[in-house]
Amino acid sequence: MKRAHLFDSLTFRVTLAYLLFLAAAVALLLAGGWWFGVQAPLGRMERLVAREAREIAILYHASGPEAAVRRLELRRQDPLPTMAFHALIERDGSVVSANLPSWPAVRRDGWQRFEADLYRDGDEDDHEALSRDMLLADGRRLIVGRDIEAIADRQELIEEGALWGSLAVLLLGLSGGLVLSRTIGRRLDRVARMARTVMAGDLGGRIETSGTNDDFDRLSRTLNLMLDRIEELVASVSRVSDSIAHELRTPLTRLRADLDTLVRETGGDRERMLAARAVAEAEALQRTFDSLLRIARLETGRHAPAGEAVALDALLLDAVELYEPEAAARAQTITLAAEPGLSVRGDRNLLFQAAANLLDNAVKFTPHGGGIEVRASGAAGAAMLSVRDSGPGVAAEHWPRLSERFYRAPGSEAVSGTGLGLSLVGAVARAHNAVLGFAADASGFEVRLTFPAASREISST
Amino acid sequence: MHLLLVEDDARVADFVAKGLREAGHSVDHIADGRDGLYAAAAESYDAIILDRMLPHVDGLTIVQTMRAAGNKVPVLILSALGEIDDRVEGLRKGGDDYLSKPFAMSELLARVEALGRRAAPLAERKNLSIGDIDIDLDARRVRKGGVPVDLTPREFRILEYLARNNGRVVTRTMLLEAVWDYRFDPQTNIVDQHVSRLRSKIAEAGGLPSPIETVRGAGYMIRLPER
Repeated sequence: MKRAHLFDSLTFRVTLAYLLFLAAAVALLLAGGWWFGVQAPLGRMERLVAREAREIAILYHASGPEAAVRRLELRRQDPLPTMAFHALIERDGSVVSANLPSWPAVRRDGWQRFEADLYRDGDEDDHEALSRDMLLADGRRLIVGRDIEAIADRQELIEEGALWGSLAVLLLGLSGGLVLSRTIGRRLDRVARMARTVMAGDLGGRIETSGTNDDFDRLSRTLNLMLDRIEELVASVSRVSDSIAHELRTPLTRLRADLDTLVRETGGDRERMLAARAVAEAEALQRTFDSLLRIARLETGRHAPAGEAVALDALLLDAVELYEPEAAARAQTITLAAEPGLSVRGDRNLLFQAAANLLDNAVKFTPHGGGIEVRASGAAGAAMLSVRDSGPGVAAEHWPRLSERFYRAPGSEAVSGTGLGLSLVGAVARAHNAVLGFAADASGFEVRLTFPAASREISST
Repeated sequence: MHLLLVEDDARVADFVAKGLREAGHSVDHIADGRDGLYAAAAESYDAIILDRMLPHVDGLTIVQTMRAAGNKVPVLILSALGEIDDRVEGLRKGGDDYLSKPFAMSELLARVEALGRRAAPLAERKNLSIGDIDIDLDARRVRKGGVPVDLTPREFRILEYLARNNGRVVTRTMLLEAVWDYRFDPQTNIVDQHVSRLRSKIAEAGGLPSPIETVRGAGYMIRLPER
């Protein structure tokens, strides 16, 4: 069987879907962290800074620069909720009052964020200022801000977390899916492998359990129980056919023995003739019953065909040679066209029996002087064996029933036979995964055995 | 020949023993598997006819035990199991021939006599010369009164088998098993057609008439003095 593609695996697809949900959950979590850890505190800080900036600007205009500077110095000493920054700059750029180490050279409206690292006793202290930059009425520039280093740190953390987190989720999810689909796939493969073994006729096969009592073990055990039951049923059918074989053959043997004695010891010609006829009848009975048993055995898969490679050309040559004198006696000609090198995996005796039965039918149903064509051809690993005769053939409506036991197509009553020949061919075909088919046209009737490419290798992994 | 028959069905055993005795053999009959095993070990027989299903010890076990003990007496297994697999199993376990029930007395007789012959095999020969027929086994060629007879490989094998069993009946099934390399059930008496062809080819070569006799209700036989 073709190695299944990864995306064909249900487990893998389910894992991918799960991965999607997981990613959504992680994104939600990060968004929550972002909102509560960054967005909301930043908003609060903006409102605070905006209020302070407004108050100081109003104080500056109402009470003069000195009052505003005093207020700014006071504010600087109260580092709550975070460190306060400010800068009051003259129009020419000289500093009136400031505790910011640096600020953007050009003023911009709106919110600004910039580094405000402080150096104290040689140590660098990381700070980031969130600030408002205003132009006062007298042309001075006022920057009012608060330290948001903690929030900025959190923001960075969450950003990095999101990047690495999503990479990790992707990687872990994919490898998890791979492992999961491999593991489950292997367990399923065991089940499938066993099913194929059983289909190939080995009813003794069982699915291995891993001993962990997991869901697959439970499924395997249930399937094994089912196989036990099937095997039991088949075995009981086999036992019945074995005892039929024994129970019928023994009386038949006695019957034959008595009739044989009668033939040898009786005086009258007429009695001898009748006894000989009875012997022939007993023989026919036995053959019918042997054929039935054989078909039954093949169909219960008990007679699993041996797996040797059988060369079709040699097999057909032998079969044609076997029937050649019989055909010649009816002035029929048999032609053989077998592609060399074609072979089928199976049981040569059974395949020969099938070919012989087909030839037997062809010879029987072809009129005196007719022709029979035996062919073997192959394509793409498959092989077809066909026997075509120039007889009257069988109407297509009867084809489906031709391989039924004891079925004889209308019009064939005059020809001797048990009605089991094609049934046996059908059983042999099924045992080899081959298909028995028919074809007909104005010039004759053809029986075909088509062996699939797979019959070269009955079990595959 | 001195024969041992191990068969639990009294009527079948009587019939077989009677038929074998009429053909001039001496027969010891035993109905039980265990006793059969003792008898096979105790006395020396030319061949043993063994039913497969026996009370106490089954036929296959008897053959296996005999073979394990180095007893090489030819064994014909009689069985109510007639499938090819059963036959293969019987032969693998040490049986020399396998005949499924029901059978004709003539079939059993022909096979037992062929088995007795196998116990004293002909030395490997290159030629068989019987009557006015010379069979070159190496070159696989046949001459009749010096005239070459053109035979197919199959016809050659039929003639060879009949000649090797010179003086003994060969049944159709024996021919089928010996000459065709497949185990199958011919739907018709297909063997007869092959033999009759062989016969006419031999007759065409001139000389004496074809030596292949039909034995009514049994099979074929060649009966020619060896040269």
